Amino acid sequence: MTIPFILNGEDVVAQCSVDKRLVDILRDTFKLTGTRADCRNGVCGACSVIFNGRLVPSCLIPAFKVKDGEVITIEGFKQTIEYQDIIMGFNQSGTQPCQFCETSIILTIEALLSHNLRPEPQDIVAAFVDIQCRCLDPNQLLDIIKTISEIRQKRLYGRSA
Amino acid sequence: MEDPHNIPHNQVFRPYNLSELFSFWNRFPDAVLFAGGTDLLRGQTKRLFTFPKTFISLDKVEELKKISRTERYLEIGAAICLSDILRLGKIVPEGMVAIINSIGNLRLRNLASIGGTILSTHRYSDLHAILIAQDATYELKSASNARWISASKFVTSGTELLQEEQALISRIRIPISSWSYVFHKKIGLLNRDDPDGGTFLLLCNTEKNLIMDLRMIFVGSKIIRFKDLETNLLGQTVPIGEKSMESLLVNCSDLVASEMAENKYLQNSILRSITVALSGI
Repeated sequence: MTIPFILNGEDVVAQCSVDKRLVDILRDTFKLTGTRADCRNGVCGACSVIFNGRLVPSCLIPAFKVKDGEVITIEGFKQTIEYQDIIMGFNQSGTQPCQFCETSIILTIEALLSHNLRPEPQDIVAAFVDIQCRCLDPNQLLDIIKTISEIRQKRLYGRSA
Repeated sequence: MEDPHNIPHNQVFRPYNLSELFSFWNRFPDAVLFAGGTDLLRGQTKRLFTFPKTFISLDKVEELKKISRTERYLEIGAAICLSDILRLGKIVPEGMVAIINSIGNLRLRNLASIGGTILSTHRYSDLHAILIAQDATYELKSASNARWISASKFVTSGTELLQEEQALISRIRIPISSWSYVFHKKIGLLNRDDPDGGTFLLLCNTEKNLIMDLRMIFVGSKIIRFKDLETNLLGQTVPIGEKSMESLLVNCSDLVASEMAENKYLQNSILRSITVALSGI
């Protein structure tokens, strides 16, 4: 099957069977290895991508669904100014997400803040309920996201809360 | 002739409206409907998906993606994903928000459709609790017919009806109502597939310290609606007295034990939830 779609802002075409997973298309065809195939069950978050504006597990997206869609992987997201806010927040807190969980953590933060620039702690806990990164203290994560939110608000509105 | 390379030859149809959908479906009556795909694809961990021979993707069918609201009802197209329902804001019943937030995770809720969740094959979806308790109805649409069926009737005979009539759920209609007290408890693993889990829900309206309306339901591997308790509590004053509470719990305990004879964990969890819920009214 020929699958034209937009990948990280560029028009691309993949040739594969309809039953291939998006995560494997990204890794095998486009060599975008930031998206990882771990549980292959939509649970761990390592395969997170932004598909048609939503954060989804790419391990559960079959090839035919990708046709004429738009996919942003972590590599594409790293080119955006929104990513700079997130990295600045981590730098200010003196931590970095581990390389394995980086994709899921960063894209989940973006998904959270793009819908609510001032998420409550319970919203953050709910968003990260299935991401079990052992490298990051959950309490520290709350502070980091608060910092990122302030940075973004300052950039967008010239002020923080 | 056998394919020596064992390459799957699946057919995927992506109709743009219901008329096209039923036309395809009439030609290929064994085709499987595919919305978010979470129910069909979860549990498949091999590199390639195992697909039905023919399936119809619902992601582009316009009629299944509409949301409308009247004074009395909220109507949601069956292909709307769970996250989009949460984004509707305050018009979504409080109990529904709590239950949707306990289903899967943020990523899965961006994929799973409400129609697919209702038809989940793993066990009765937690969503049934709020839909039954709030007297929701589902529109079953076939090529030649459309009818509405209550959520409570659907769990007993809906799947057979869909197969007999070659129909699908096109809309879910939820009465808009507010409740003075909502209690929701997820039992079992949070945000995970748990065949031994479920959800307990209590909705209550009180006026001048009298219970005017009460709905209580557990949904898991079975659905338990506590109709006797609902009837007994109507008109009772709140808070519920100790003696009344004891007698209610004994009745509930008998019902739960008869329904969940093999599962002590669920029995205890449900009874605990009932105690906490009733104490909070």
